Amino acid sequence: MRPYDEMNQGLKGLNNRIKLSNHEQQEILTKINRKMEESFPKKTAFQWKHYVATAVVLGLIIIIALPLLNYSNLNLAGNNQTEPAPEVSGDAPIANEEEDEITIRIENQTNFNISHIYLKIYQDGRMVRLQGAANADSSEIKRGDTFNFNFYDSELGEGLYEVELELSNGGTTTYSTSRVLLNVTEQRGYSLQIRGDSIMNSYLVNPTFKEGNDQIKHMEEFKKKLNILLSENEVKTLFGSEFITGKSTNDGTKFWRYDFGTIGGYAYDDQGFQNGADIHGMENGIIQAQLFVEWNENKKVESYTLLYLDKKGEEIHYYHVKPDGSTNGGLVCSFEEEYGWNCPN
Amino acid sequence: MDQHVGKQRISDWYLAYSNDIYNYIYFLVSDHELAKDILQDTFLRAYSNINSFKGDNVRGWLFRIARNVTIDDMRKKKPIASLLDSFSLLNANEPSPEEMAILNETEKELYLSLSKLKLSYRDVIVLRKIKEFSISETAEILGWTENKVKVTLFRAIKALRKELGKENFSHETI
Repeated sequence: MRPYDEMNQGLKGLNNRIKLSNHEQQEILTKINRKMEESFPKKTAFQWKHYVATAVVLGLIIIIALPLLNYSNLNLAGNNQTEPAPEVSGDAPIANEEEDEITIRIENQTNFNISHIYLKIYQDGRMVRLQGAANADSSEIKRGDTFNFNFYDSELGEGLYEVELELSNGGTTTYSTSRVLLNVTEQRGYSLQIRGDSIMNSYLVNPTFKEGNDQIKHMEEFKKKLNILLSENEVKTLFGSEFITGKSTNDGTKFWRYDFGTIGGYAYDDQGFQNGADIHGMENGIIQAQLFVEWNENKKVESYTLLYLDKKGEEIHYYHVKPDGSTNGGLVCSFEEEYGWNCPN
Repeated sequence: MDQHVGKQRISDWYLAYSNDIYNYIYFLVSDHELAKDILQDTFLRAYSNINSFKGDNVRGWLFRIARNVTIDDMRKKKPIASLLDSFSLLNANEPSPEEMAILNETEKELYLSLSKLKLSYRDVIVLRKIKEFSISETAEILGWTENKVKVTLFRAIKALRKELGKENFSHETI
């Protein structure tokens, strides 16, 4: 047994053991000094007056132009400012009176001041939709307020998109959230939440884990199925015939990849990541687990690697069955309200 | 504050605390180059906000900035399809950075166990047990209540013990 004091002592011993070299330390200081110089160049009294005058003029231009810019943003997608949506409880499907419209509901789960929300939708890295929303009476958007953004099918066809919000707190600066994946299918309603402790640290979350086909109900039971040296047919019998084949980028080992608990229409393009896992998809709750079955030269299972999202949707774990049948596993990523998703390794 | 005085203060603080703060950032991000960038941004942000510093605990103030800059950086990262190769995954916890070479076995074991904890646990252990901030200073840096610091630290130590595979500690001193 390691005495508690020894652990405490060990922790203290870690202090400053991993540190910068003198050269690195000096190099960073030089950069800091240079950037400090750049941020405040020497100014004469005359220049100050000049800058103040320029700032005043710019300020006036912004005051005049901002309402116009907002107005144009609100109309870019053909849908004007949206009104706060009626309360929708829990994970209930979002009712949509317009059958031919898709609704993206954004719920504010933050306590900071938001005056405007701009919803940006990207596909293949290109922004394809932009809509804005604010309270009709210009009041602050409060925690719990929801906004529905509606799109016609022709505007937002089925496919995988990335959604980002640009938030304004009434000033001239806007802040962008991280992007989340949105898999648009025949489903009419989608729900996302804004979270974060400040407008600068805001982010989007897909809060509901969607039930998908072939969802693994009991992960521990599932792990027991992962026996090595099974034949291809035996693996197909256990996990089905819907898998993607690939080769390890490391050593060319052949593998099959199974996707579990996906939202209908899920398609993970792992181009460039031949044997990568869709951690992003798991973070956004559109896939529950991925199983990699690796094969030896005799077409028998060499090893398994399972990546899965826990029930709460807050942790991603891995579980590995080695060629000798031994196993190991651990935490890959975890979500905490304050820090967002973190995948340390 | 006069610009020259401000720059001088930043330089002085950098010389006094840069390694201390780099070390803290490194525990959070486990990446030498990234930690260097965040360290630089920390002092630049401190410079931008130097007039708002009214207290006497410079070290705590700088740590708070470092933490905010680190979290901002984490948030900025676009989550991309991870290159979580199944083989590299298995080596994820192996000590590979050069920095690890300077740690003895016990320290390596502690460091690796610590790096497996979730960030809030890592954060509070590093500040309280490694950097030895007081509970109130830690609460100030983290923006938590003192009670939250105590509760989280208790859980964090428990989680660390579990990672270390030691379940027999009799008590905790929070």
